Amino acid sequence: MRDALAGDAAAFDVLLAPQLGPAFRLATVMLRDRTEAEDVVQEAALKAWSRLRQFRGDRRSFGPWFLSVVASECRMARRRPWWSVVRTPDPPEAAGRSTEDLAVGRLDLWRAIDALDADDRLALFAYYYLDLPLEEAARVLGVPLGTAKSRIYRAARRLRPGLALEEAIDR
Amino acid sequence: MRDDVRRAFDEHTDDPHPALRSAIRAQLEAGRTPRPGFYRLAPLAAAAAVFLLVMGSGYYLLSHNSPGKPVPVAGNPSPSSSPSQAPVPSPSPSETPIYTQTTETFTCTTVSGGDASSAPNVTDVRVGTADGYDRFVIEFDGPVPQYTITPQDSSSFMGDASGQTLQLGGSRGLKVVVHNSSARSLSGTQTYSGSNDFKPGYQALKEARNVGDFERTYSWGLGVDGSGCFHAFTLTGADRLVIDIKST
Repeated sequence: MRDALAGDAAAFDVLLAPQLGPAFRLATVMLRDRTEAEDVVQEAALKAWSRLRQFRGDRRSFGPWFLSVVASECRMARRRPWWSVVRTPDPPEAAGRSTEDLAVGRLDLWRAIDALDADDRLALFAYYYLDLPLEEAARVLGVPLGTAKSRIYRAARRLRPGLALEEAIDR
Repeated sequence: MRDDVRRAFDEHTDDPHPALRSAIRAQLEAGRTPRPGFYRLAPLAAAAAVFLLVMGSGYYLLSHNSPGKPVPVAGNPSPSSSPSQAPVPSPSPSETPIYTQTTETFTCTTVSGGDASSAPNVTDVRVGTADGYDRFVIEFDGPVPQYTITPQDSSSFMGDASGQTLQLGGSRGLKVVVHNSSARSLSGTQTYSGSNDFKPGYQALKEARNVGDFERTYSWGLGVDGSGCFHAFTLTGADRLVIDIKST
């Protein structure tokens, strides 16, 4: 970490390596496009490298910080003028079907996840898949703790209506 | 809940190709900096555009009140007419191709150019669209090498190494051949790992596909609709070959 902060690109590469898998999956979840996800992760890596001096934390908190940079890059990619031309639009949120129906079965669960907007997918991904503590998930989402909590809960309820807060935010 | 969602993400996402880390490492070693991001510049550009428009319009009105004076084009007054004019922030090199209006005429015949002594690697390929044309860009880590762009009456291309026929979208084609260049450096490092098959479905540019990267000859096929006429030129800052395909 110290070497990377001192400007050692090789040390940064070592620091970054374990984060590339989660980062790429995160970008794929948000963008639904592997090629675009690769581009975004590359750009995020360069951005993280250029901003590393702004990073205040230790090796453990580097991961959530880098993932927050990736998430931010994904949002920027989705805002580009040609995004809507080149990419398929977000599917309508469970149009014509109840969320109970969607939640039946693993495939339907994925369809329900895929029907969420990108930030809600990110919330579920950070909290449930990456298993990040709520504080770190909030950092990746780029929102305050309370907002992160309600976003995770809201997204989870779209998959399982009637889900209690304690079941959604289980720790 | 947690297990189900985790399993769903696990099944529908996977790890990146190992080349991703190599590509990032290569860019770090090359000292590449991130793109500033057009959207961060957009508010500045919009403010500058409004400012220029107001200045231009004001000058236009003044000119009309003073017969005999030349009337500048709105938004592009002469320097002497607006000495305090704010500079227009120029988009980053990697974003520029999408937003720079082409002013040249289009041609429908084979075009060649570039520096025969240059042998750079490809670092980026991208597509974009603007009013009146669609754009295809190849970016290099050195001066743009020798290139040839050849129009053809179909959108079928032959893969350079495989000999396989590749059918692209669109009714016509442009074959882009860049000599002494590759997306893989001589030491074997992948220098461009982005898409090799864009299907933007623009008005003119329907598909852009890498049809060869063999013995330092780097080729793309562009499947296009419409006249297939184009304007090719090079830019520096980030060295790149730009091909604008006429869309209207």
